[in-house]
Amino acid sequence: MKQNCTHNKEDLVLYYYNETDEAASADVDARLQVCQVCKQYYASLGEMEMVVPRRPSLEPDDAVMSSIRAATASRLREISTASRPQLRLATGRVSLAIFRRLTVVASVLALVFIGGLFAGGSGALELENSSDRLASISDVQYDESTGLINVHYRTERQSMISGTLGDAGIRSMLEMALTDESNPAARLRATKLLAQIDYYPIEPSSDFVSALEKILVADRNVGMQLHAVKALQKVHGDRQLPEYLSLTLMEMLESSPNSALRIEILELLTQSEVARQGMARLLERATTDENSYIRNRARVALDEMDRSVPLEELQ
Amino acid sequence: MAAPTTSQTIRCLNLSNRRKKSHMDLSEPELIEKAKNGDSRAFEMLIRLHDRRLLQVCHGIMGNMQDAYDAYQDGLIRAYTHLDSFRAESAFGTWLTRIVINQSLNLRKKIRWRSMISLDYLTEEGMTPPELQDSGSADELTIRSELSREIENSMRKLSDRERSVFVLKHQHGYKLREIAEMIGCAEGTVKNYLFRATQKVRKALAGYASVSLETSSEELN
Repeated sequence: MKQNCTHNKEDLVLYYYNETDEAASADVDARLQVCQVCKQYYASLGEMEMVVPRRPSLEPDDAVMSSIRAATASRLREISTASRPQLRLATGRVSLAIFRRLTVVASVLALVFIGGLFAGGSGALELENSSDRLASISDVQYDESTGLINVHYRTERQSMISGTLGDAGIRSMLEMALTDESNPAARLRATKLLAQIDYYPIEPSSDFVSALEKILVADRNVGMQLHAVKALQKVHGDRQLPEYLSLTLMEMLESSPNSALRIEILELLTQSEVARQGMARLLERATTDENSYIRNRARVALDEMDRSVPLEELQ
Repeated sequence: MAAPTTSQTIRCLNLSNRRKKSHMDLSEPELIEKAKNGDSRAFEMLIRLHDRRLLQVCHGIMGNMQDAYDAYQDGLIRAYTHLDSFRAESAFGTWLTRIVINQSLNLRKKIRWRSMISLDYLTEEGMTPPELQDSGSADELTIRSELSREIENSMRKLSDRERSVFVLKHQHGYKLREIAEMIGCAEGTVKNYLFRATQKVRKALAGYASVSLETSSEELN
């Protein structure tokens, strides 16, 4: 006779992996005494361990590790001699700390500027002009061999800073380039760069991510939108997209006449692990898209969605 | 110019020995500081504490040595070039693991796309370098390779995140809290991934487990 069991199996998995607190462990212990289904389930976890042992599947010996270490060391040295992620000005090397101090000074100036606006004085205009003079970005480049971003900017003369996305200075320079309406060339280069580089873990709520979203939604240049959506793919990785962004993307997927842009939007939408409500219907519609690549991708995404069975069904 | 005396030579040798040892004597924060200033040797020392484990994590996620090695090395290079962003808010090992996991997940995504685009894409089977293959009799090798293919097939049913969580928990024994930090999501989400992953692997290997049990008992007899 089949025994009905409504007990939560997730608790059993957590218990099996020693991740339950004392009270929960006592509950599971008691349950295992009385519930045959839970007992069988728990035993099956033990059986799984017989096939997939609780140790790494690879055991590299010392000789292998030595050769891997030597190869890594040689690559590290190559990078080290080429450059290091330190901030450099065209006139020479300065430490990141100095640039950070400069950023603080710039922030203070910005506050004074905002204060000036509220005070309604003519000083605001002067500061606005001097801020224009402070940084007009002329080029943004990414050096693949070192992983460094180089921002060329003009003050009274041409200068350059280098660093990574981890540097506040680089991020503010990129944000400046992305939001500069009067400089589409810098905007395009910055967007392109962000689409090109691989990200290390980064906060998707940062200011330059908002700037990318703005470009995607509001820019008239399809090329720029295309780079923006590629950059957002990298920022978000397979994390869940914010709701406002996924809704906007869904709308754009159905309305954009550009198939390249639709392909990238579909990729950004489907790379998120947890599909949103309405996504399945959208994908079904996409399987009839005029573009064969989109049709194929939508079918694959639908298959993947089918494979991620709802949690309730797994219980 | 006069030749150095024996005592001068000994002093020089002592100094150079001391210099050679200096990296080994440094603490982790000191090594990090040095590496941040461009000392690649300090970074090598830092990763030596973690590299075997990192390679194993990559292998668990990628499922084959070739891709695991690519993800591992690219991850370390990325960590080195972005070392300035390490703020010691988490342990260095956790930060490093997080970067390497991200690199592995990115690579998996690229491979998936490549396989969609190119029909010539080769599967991972047979890509393990000979130096890493197990030794043993032909029968043992057949059984082992069949079993590992079976395990890999069951792991392919997992999403990238489920697979990462399963590898980190089941094979490496990390706490859920640590895994959450490594893959950058909430602990509750990690629990969910772990449960889903365990369910899928358990189901996929259900038939195999009993066979494996029988084989083990036969071996004992």
